Amino acid sequence: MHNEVIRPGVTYRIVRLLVESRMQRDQMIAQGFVPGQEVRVIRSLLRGRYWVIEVHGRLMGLRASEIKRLQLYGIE
Amino acid sequence: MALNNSKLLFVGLPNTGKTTLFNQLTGASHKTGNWSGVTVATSRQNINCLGKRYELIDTPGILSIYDEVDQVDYQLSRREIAQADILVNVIDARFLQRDMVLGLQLRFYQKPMITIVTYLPDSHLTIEQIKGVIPGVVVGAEALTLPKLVAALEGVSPLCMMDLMEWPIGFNKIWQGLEGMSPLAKLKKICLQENGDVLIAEGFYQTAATLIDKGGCRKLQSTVVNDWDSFTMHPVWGGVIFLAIIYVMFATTVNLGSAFGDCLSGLVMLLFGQLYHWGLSGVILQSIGSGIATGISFLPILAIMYGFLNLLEQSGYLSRVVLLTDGLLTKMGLSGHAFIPMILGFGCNVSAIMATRTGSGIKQRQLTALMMPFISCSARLSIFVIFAGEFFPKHGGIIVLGLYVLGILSGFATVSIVNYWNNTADGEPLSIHLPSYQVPRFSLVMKSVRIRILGFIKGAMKQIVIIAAIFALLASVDFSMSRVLPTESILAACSQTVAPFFRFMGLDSESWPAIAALFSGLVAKETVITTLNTLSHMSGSVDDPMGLMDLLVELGQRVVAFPISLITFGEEGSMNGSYANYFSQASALSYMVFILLYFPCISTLVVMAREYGKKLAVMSFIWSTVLAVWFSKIAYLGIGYYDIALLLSGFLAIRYYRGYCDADAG
Repeated sequence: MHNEVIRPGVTYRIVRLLVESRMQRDQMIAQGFVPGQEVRVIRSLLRGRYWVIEVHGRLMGLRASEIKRLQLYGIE
Repeated sequence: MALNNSKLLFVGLPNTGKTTLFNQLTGASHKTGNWSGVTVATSRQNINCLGKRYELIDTPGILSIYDEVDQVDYQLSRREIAQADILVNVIDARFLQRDMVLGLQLRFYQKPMITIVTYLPDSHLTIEQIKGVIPGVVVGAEALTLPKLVAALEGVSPLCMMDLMEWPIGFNKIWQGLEGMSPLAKLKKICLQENGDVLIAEGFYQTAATLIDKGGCRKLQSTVVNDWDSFTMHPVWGGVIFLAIIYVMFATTVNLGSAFGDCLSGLVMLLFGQLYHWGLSGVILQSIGSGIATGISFLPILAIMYGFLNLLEQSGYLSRVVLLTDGLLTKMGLSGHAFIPMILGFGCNVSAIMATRTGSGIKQRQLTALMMPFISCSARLSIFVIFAGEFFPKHGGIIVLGLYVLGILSGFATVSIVNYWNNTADGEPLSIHLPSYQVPRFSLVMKSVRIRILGFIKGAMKQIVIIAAIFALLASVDFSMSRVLPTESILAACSQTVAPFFRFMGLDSESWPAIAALFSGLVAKETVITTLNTLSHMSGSVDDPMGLMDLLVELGQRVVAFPISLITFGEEGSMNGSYANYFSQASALSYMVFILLYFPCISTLVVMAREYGKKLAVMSFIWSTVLAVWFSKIAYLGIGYYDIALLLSGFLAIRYYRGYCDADAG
């Protein structure tokens, strides 16, 4: 099930990167958003427009549109 | 392995403590902060230790070595890595796996490498455990000294990583198919193939995970999430908290800074007042002294401003503000990342333009850089504080804050117009590391303030003295080089010639010192007010200096009144008359608006030309001056039909141009 509703406290796995440009793809991968990688959603900010997620122990802030591009799949 | 005359390069992910370590080892005082992208240029220091000579180089943080991320700071670091003799990989013990991935990638340069581990006390690991995980020489950053580092270098050597790597199935076949290439070139080549980037990343992460598991360092506890974000990032309170922080910063700078500044300035004028009986040289020296006294009055203002900025930089709050402001900046074709150079611009526009290097893509960087000259730097703040205290004594804080808002809005308008005109928006990703909040260390804040104040004294004060001396001389002689009254001097003649061009802000030939002061600001904005004071002093339009006791009593009263002024949005005071010969309240406001927006100082223009080309620097010069003339005219005369017509025609011209371009593209 892709593009499911994101919930804080849930661990997801990145399915694939749906990005528009090579630059964006490189940047996402360099920051650790690699397909297959587990990420934990910590909280939403500013009424769901931004999300804080944990990847490799680091907290990252993402736009809601960016988190959709990760195609998260809930595993826990 | 011990190399003499070697280049030691500090390299690692952003915000791992490279510059802190560099400062610790070399005794340097480079800027540090709790957010990604503090360092945007390399720093070098030659050292002699244990009979060997080394060049230590600090670099901006990078995330990887083989992809095509378009950031100037990344390209700079990669160039330096290629030229280094020994790599010093700085890793953060709290994020071991993520940092190890870069360490593994660096091995593909096939250079000797040593790993230094920072933040060990904040992690659950010991240095012995980490030594069991990371191949090669590993040392902890705690209490590391230069001799210890040099001694540890004895054991470094290039490691062959291919034996360690755990690549995904099929990767080795692709690798072996690329013959005659260096390992790094192979990585770059495979990265460009379909899904190659993911295969490479998987390989690095898997290898790091396996090494961590084998070493028994798998982190079991989850990341500690700080609940401060519930408040600082609240949809309503987040904005209120941010504005409150900014207000307190400016109100403190304006009220307390000017109180201490006036006292210091008065003390210096008391000293220079003794030179009155020295004839012409005494008059010139006294006038220069007036400029110096004004320059010294900047010190408390700058110290408080830099102190607040450093508190913000150390706390980890800046990264959160990037999220808070992203929604607004995205509408203008920027991203929240542009906010960090803006905050740095409150200190100095030069460092702000340098900080745009961390932006992704040339268009993003150019747009951000165009906005920077409108962000009021601390030099302009000093002028506003003095003028606001002089002409708007009861509402100085609000006036200064209003000028800052006007500057920011002008920057936003500029970026929006350029973005709309060129349709440059290409959607920079936001994804930003949110470091843990930390209590700022008072000693670090004081050190940072001390360094920047000393920098101001060495740099700007030198310019202030030289320019004050030149202007004092030009205001003392005529074209035949005979001593005359200031009103008959070369400077007065030149300023009075161009005075008609400044009528839009209420200046006339009687206000020639104010006009001359504006031109001195091209060198550095600080010199506007110091030149004005120098010339005012020569013209005899400055009050006699106050006595020592009077100065101290006034300082005490203003300090006591400060907490109340924070709540009442104003301060106790009354208008005094040092500049009353040149300005009315309206023309003083217009003058401040002009100073806020007119051409950036030489240093800012030079850095902009170096980073983005002369065309952009010239464009910024012309555009900011046009805006300055227009807005200061409105500040003096109010908005008229002509202004509305000009605004509408400009808007229609841009719409027409965009329509033409879209039709052409279609």
